[in-house]
Amino acid sequence: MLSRREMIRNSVMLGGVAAAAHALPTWMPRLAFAQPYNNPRGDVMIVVFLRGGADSLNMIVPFGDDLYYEARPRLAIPRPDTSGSDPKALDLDGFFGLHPALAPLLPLFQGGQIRAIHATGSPHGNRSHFEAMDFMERGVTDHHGGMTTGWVARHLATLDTGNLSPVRGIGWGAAVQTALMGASSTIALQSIIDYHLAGDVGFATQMMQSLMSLYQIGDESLYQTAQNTQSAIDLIASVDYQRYVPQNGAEYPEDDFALALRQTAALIRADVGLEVACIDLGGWDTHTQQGGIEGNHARLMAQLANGLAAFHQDMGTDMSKVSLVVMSEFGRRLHENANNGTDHGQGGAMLVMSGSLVVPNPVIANWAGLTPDALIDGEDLAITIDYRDVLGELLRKRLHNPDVQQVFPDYDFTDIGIFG
Amino acid sequence: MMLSRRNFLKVFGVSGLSFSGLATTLAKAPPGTFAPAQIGERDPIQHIINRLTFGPQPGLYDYISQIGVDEFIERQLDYESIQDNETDHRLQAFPLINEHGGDLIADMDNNRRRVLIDLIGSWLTRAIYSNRQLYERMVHFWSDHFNVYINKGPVLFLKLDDDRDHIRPNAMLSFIDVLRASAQSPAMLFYLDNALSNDFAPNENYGRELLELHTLGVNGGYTEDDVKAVSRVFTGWSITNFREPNSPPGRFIFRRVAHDSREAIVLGEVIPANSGIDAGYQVLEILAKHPSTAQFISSKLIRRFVADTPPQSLVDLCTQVYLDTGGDIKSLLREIFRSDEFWQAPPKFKRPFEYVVGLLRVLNYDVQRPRRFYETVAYLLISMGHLPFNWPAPNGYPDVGRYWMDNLLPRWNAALAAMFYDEDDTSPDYTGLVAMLQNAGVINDAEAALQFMARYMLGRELTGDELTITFEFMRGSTDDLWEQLILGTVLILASPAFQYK
Repeated sequence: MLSRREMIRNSVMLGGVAAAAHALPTWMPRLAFAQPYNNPRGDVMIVVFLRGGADSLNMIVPFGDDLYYEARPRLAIPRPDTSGSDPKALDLDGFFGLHPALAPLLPLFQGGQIRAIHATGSPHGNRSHFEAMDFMERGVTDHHGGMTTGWVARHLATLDTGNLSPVRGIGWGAAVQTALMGASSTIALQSIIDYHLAGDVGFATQMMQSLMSLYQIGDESLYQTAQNTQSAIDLIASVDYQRYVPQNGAEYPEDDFALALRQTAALIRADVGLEVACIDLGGWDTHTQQGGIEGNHARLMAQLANGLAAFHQDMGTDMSKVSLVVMSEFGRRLHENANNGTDHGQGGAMLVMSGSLVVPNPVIANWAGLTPDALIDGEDLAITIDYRDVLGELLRKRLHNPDVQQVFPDYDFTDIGIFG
Repeated sequence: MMLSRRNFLKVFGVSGLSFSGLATTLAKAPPGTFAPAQIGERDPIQHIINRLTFGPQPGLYDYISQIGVDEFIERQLDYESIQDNETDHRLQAFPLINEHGGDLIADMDNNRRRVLIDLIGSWLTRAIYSNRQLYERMVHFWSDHFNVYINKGPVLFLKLDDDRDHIRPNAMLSFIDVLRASAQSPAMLFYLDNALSNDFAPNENYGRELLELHTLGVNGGYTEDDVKAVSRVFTGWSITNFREPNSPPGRFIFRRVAHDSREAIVLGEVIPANSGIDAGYQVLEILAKHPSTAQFISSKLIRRFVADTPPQSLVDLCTQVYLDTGGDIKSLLREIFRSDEFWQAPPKFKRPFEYVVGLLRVLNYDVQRPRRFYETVAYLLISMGHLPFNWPAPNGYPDVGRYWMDNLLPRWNAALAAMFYDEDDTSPDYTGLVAMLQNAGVINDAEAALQFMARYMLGRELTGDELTITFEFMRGSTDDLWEQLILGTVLILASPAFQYK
């Protein structure tokens, strides 16, 4: 029986997943690449993108720099040694501290399982969200060159791991992220449980067969998507997500971000062939009412930290085959604005969480300081570490990509020594 | 047997049709005969249906073939002369669209859900039923162009005013009209933080997007200094609050005390000191008549109505029309619809909203309990990532097929849901569709009936291969002709042919 109620229920169950912010996509045909390199699979890479330009200066707080406090009389996070029992920055290395809302990550910093890279970003100098995200996700710094695919897609295309899975890549959300644009064997996924054709199994199988025949005689690029959807449906049906129990006592929060991490953990455990996953967390464009210790920005940080900490706990020893990176399109200006917020800036921060970190310092930075001379245009944190150095090293050392020049063309990489 | 026979019997009766139902439907059926399109050639009427409206519905093809394509375009442009009583009647289910959002904010928690259903429901109602289809498409165009995000603060409430008072009255006038209306829309002023911007420290969010997304385009020739100057000019463009003397909350207000009245230089033009609110109007005029804006708006319109990659030849032509007419929207649309590029446009992948509305139109839904029904449809749209007003970034939902193509599964499930929905006396108009087949004399011949449905839904007959595949599917499940036809129809609705327009 093809139950109408069931179908409607299924469609209703898909609800509640908020649409994530995405970069402005351009027309992106699936490109033919040169013969890929053969290498064994490395870590699963998870890319968390904080949409809106996260205010890194209030996340990884440079409490050792007085100019930070001068520039942010209302928003600054108090020094760790401030008297009184009110919340304050959590000391990491005597100069940088964590916003207290990121406290769930403090044990991971202390244990060497997570690191921050500060004063980092992309040197395009663009303060438009859409262009900055688009540049960063395509791995370019300007409009020239006509690179139409995403950096994660190019990584998948240039590396043949012998993995025939239809879900080498997953973009969590209603559509894949620009970083995955142009990738084959990649799907947009919102919910493991709901990823199937409505109706009973027999009907769904017949309809799927007929649909595939119709897509086969249609547009080729759409046929590839349809084919991949079918394979992915079959594969994901084999994941018994309802019975998935996070391990090591991990408890995920019930928001969309944590849900994506929880499902990613289940897919990693089910060994479906996942190599990369992209997850968005939006809302970081804090022009107004950003707040300091408490407020909108602190709530977002708590969401980020609680999700990451739960995922890390769930993965346990399996973190040895996982590397996660957190990035944003740009940081925000040093000086707070009149609306209890901050405006678009340049240098920002990244986080890397992995079982294979070798750098001893909790915060990696070539800190140039906050004097007007050290800032870009006298107002933005300078970019002293290029985000491509971080991603390039991650791809090379942990995902076995032998030619990161294909991923970030025309870039001269510097080894930072983050990953072992 | 895969399908519930009870449902078919209920609809068609034991021998096929309930006679009285058919008679009523036939009486309502439009006069004239349905002229089929041929494979391999573009049927101009179908092209017009696909691009200017939200898709085929019974009677529309006949109507256009009677009055002619050119006349249809002209009537659609002159939208105010189109009678739309049935839609107005249906809109009575959504009374809050006549309210000011500011008056509903005080009881925000209780009103939030009602406002959301009224906004989404009224949009779906108009897209499905309105006779002013091209006008509705332009409302959607500007709502994307001047996107606001209803999950930020009170924007959901203010969107009621934005839609009714700012976008709809200006959607077919000149660009400057809709630009000026948007600049004074409380929803926009809150969404892009201008409501709180002041001369002490101007907030640049609105100023930047005004240049980058609303007018010149990102490479339109402005500098960071222009962003700062424009942001200063718009300080004081704000929204009334709860303690405002002489005004209810949530309305536009120019706050002289918060306005930076110093001279400003925008794109090389001097805005004199102490111009008050006129400084902002002056900037909007400068932006609206700028050649970069002419090109940016032309190119976005062409992307919407012609192709994901706007042909440069047509962009150039429309840019000139824009500059010659002062950004007259009807002139731009006329130019597009008479261009070769439009008539030779490649197939365009439907965005989820138009795909879903297209399903409901083609199945001739007569929605009975609209608030419940459209809430269900809203969940479908969420699963496809295309709930109206729910795109967080100010650039609006993408208008290129590539963005939407990776998510086919929810579309297939939407086709199934639309075909088999049956709650609250709301379902596909089986009776009306059968009457159409009866009128055409194809009711007892599976192939002829299927081809008729294909012409109706796609504007062409199925190819030999498509026919073979569809027949195999529909005959594999049931021996009943009507059930077969329903299966064949839902397969076509989920197939690539109906994903494109």
